[in-house]
Amino acid sequence: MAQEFDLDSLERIFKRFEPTRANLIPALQAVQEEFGYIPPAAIRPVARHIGVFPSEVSGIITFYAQFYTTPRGRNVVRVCRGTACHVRGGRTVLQTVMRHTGIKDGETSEDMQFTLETVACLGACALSPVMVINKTYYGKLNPGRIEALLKNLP
Amino acid sequence: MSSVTRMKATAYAIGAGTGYVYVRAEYPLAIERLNLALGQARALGLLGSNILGSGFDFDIRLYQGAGAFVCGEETALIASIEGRRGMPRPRPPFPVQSGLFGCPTVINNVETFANVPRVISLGPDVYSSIGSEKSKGTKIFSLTGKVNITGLVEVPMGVTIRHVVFDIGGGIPKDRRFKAVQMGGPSGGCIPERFLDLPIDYDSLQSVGSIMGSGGMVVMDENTCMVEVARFFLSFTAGESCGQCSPCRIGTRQMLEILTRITKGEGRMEDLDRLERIAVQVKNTSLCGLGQTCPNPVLSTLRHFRDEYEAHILQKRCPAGVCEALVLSPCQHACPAGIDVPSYVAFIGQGDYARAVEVIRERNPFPSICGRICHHPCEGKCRRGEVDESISIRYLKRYAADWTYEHEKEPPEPFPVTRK
Ligand SMILES: Cc1cc2nc3c(=O)[nH]c(=O)nc-3n(C[C@H](O)[C@H](O)[C@H](O)COP(=O)(O)O)c2cc1C
Ligand code: SF4
Ligand code: FES
Repeated sequence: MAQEFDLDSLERIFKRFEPTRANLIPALQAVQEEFGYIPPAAIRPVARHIGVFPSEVSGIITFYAQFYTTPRGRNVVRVCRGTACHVRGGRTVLQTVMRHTGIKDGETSEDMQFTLETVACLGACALSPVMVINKTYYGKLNPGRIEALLKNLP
Repeated sequence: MSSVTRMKATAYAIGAGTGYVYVRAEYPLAIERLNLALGQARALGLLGSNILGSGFDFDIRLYQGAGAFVCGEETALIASIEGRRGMPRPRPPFPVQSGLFGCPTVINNVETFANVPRVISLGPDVYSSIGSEKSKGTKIFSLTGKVNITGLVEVPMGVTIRHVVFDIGGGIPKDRRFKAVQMGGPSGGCIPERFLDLPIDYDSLQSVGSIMGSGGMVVMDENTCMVEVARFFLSFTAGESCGQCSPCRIGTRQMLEILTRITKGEGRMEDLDRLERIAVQVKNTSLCGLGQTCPNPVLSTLRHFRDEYEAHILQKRCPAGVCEALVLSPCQHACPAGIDVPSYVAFIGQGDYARAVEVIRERNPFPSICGRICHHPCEGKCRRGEVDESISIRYLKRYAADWTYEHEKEPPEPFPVTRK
């Protein structure tokens, strides 16, 4: 998939963040919010703006699990693999999602319909097993509901 | 939100000008609500400069994590807010001496801050009349797992585990048997049934190899394999280790390898001692709390559930019917006759009742009787039962048998005699 990369929007983001080291992670989060991922071409401009080496920016991106350097699907499905969900069938949830989407943890489907990832606890343990599609929480899941949810996604 | 006021009270006492709330990015709802609360507090003049004309300036910034568990460790948390990789550093200097941007910094859990005004308004005497001898006040737990009523519960320190799990949590679903409660998050320990009457306080939990930690209470029933649980935690901590010190980076991998081997039925008895040795070493020599506590699930399961480890190693058997390499399927594992349940249920699903009965007859000549009177231990283990209701294996069997008897043209060939 060809990626349009728009430097202007990057400049707009930079205006919101003063060039201090402490703003590196928030700035990267904003870049990711804008593009859905961190385009590798954005690493140098970010480094220049904050005043660090590009390698340091890469260091941050690879350390923190929430930063992605490849484009992500239209629907990001996050399945909880925290403890509470694990003992209440979280593995079955993951298997059901994998079967339906045909992709594994960390992958994006070829048609860009899904990105699947696992997260250790989504903070809704009382509703376990839980998954989040884009920003919506779904709890007390069972295979039938998961299939229905995934089928009806745009 | 009340924790805003509470942080402010602390800031006032120590003369701080800025507070940070660090929230995991995985909790978008918490971030949204906190932002709302902070906005409201600013609009009302409860945050900002010269708060309510007192001359005291204080503001709170919300800092979103970026997906690293180790950033809960206080020095890693500081590194993360400073825009660096979240790697812990040796203490001293402690954050109260030199913390964020080199300034003295107080780091506490939100629950701790939430208790400050209570101590002030109730007075220390009243506050400490709640709780047990050494652990004062109340504690909030996140009660989850195999328990009927899940959610947050606040109890006075010193109540028993039984009270929380059975009286408040309403016991175990489907009348299954309680096996353990895992307390304190990924670095906590598993507490077995015989300690159900243990009072919940810091010392008692420590005495059985667990911790208060995050306040998580995950209830596990008979269908949970404790070796697999230990492996599950280790796979998490091994992945989250920041990797800068070798006991934690290498030790977690080694423990994970051994545990994985055991769950595959390839373990050896000497593995148990080795596991314990590595665990103790990682605990004693790691730099930060992650490494120092991640062996707890291993040590506590080794201590309280050694028989399960031995069953995996000596008999190549997973008593809970969980470990995939050792059990074909939990239902077949649970069936006293060892019938291939998944196959015949699949044939029934396809409407091929005769083939289903054939599969049953391989192990049991009486499908119709069994379909009526068997106490169906298979259904108790059914994985589908974890998420909603178990498959009604017994009724399926009865239906397939009845259908076959009605439609069968000839009685089946008797099986050849295999034993004299
Ligand atoms: C690996 C690791 C993860 C932690 N995660 C958290 C966390 O998510 N939330 C938290 O409040 N404390 C966490 N802590 C504990 C904090 O570092 C700190 O000790 C605690 O918040 C101090 O507050 P308290 O004294 O009020 O409990 C973690 C510690 C370690 C070692
Ligand atoms: S104990 Fe583990 S997480 Fe902590 S500093 Fe060492 S390697 Fe990093
Ligand atoms: S363990 Fe799944 S939401 Fe907490």
